[in-house]
Amino acid sequence: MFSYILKRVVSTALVCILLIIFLSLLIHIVPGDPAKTILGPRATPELIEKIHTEMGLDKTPFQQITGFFLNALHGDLGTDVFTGRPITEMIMDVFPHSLILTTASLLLAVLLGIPLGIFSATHPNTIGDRILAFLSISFITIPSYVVALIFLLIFSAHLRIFPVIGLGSSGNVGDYIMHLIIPALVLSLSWVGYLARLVRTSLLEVLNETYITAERSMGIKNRTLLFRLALKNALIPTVAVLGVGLGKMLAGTVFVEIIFSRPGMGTLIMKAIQNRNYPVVQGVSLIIALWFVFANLLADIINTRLDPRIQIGKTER
Amino acid sequence: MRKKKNSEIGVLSQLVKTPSGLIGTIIIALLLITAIFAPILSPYDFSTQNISERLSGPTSEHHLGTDHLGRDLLSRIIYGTRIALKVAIPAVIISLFIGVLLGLIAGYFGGIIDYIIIIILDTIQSLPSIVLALVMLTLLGPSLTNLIVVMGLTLFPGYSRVVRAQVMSARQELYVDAEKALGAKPLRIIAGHILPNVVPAVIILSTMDLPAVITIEAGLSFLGMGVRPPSPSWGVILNDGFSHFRQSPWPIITAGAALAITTFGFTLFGESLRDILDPKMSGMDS
Repeated sequence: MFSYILKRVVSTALVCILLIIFLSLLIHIVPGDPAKTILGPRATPELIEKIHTEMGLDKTPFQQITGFFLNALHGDLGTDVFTGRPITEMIMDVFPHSLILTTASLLLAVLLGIPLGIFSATHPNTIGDRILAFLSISFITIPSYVVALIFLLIFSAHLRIFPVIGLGSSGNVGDYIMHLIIPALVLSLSWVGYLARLVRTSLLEVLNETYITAERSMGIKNRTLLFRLALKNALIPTVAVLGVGLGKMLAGTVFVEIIFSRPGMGTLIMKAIQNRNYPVVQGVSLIIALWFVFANLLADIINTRLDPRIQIGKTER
Repeated sequence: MRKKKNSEIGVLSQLVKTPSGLIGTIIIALLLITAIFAPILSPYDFSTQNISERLSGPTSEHHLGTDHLGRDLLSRIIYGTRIALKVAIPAVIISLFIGVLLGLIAGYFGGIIDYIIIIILDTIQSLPSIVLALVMLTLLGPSLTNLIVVMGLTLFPGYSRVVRAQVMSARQELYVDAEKALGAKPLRIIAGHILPNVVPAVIILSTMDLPAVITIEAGLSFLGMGVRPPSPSWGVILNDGFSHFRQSPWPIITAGAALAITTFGFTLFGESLRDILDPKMSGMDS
């Protein structure tokens, strides 16, 4: 088991290195001079030179990659050429908002998705199960930005129960939470559908195993069986999916944050993209990717501990 | 051995026997008809402006209402079908080619080559596809062609993984050993024995990828990084609606419904196809 985890850690490290190289190469793939693109009509030779020095473009590509790499290791992602602020600081300012949104959605997904999955598995092929199957697949397939826009229409224009735009007045926790509910619900919806289906499938599988039938024949109550034995095993794949979900949702915040005008990683990267502010784009995408890689690694390790069978199937890697 | 030669007609007739397969097939058929006959079906030109009738709800002249420039929404949605498919199909074909090629190489040769390819796939997949596509489009600039290329480059790792896994298990088969012992060249073994085995998995995956690509394309266009206005991509229509959502809900409702129905139909179709072609893959979700 430890050799499997070690292998995963090594390949994760390699992925991180490649990622940093890829992202620091970005600036060189850009057609034309990034300084000129940033400055636009304001470009004068002096200003261009100033930006070149600030972005490190006067150094060789190799020096730039190693420079970006070493600085990134120290948590320094460079400086925003527009405002002169450290990029790490800009990210730290908004990251908590995205993290809270992601965590809240994941929590909602678990609270709604798992009970729905249990209901479907314990009432297989009933009308309720069919309706849930239909709802789940709709939740999974409908794009999050469509849901977000529809909710924006409903809650900001017609039904003003929940405030949906912005973060709420600063320092007011209750207001912050009220502003969080609808965006978190939007972001969780596809995972509700996904978890409901996953829990249904894995629970049905476990319920049909011989040891459950044996326990049942010994007179153990269905409810006890379900919660003590079956659910424990059925939830193993869910943990893996949740790890992946934690990583993926951070990217999903892009649309939700823009549509509901919430500050966060999504709005930050989008603004940087619109201004062609490459260093910020570089920094934010690095953090989103690292977050994803480590969430996956964590999910994998937890999963290996929960279910030792997994590594056998994967040792090929 | 897998029973082969279930002809396309056979698969299709099996497909329409289940309710979800039937619904999926009908939705896709309607989409194709809409895309092909867009000029005949749309009541107006999709770009004709009529400012005096801007942001109206459904009327007898404009069945789905109009947008902020008074353009007929029904016509724009109909032409939007063309754009969705025009991006999604070539993008899936590009990622299929790159993906299958790399997957075959990784799976067949194994060892260090395999390891390098896997690390590259992991790296690409560590950037969520929407972010990776956004970053690449920032560099290349938004356009239809760039969008197709970027989506192709974003999604190929999925194919590589499936193909690699299939090749690895096929490599264990005795007949491949026998071929090798007879002195067959790698290319011959891959083309003759391994490739046919990966075809069902790849077909399933590409059907499942189509709705994903359509979702990302409209999302990128919504963000202004994909198809550019005045092209009536559903994402562009959503963006127009987002800018004027307090005046009229109709652009968001119509384009949102078009996207939801399309992705729903393709997913139902893909999942039913998967259940028929390869019941073993049923537990696997992309």
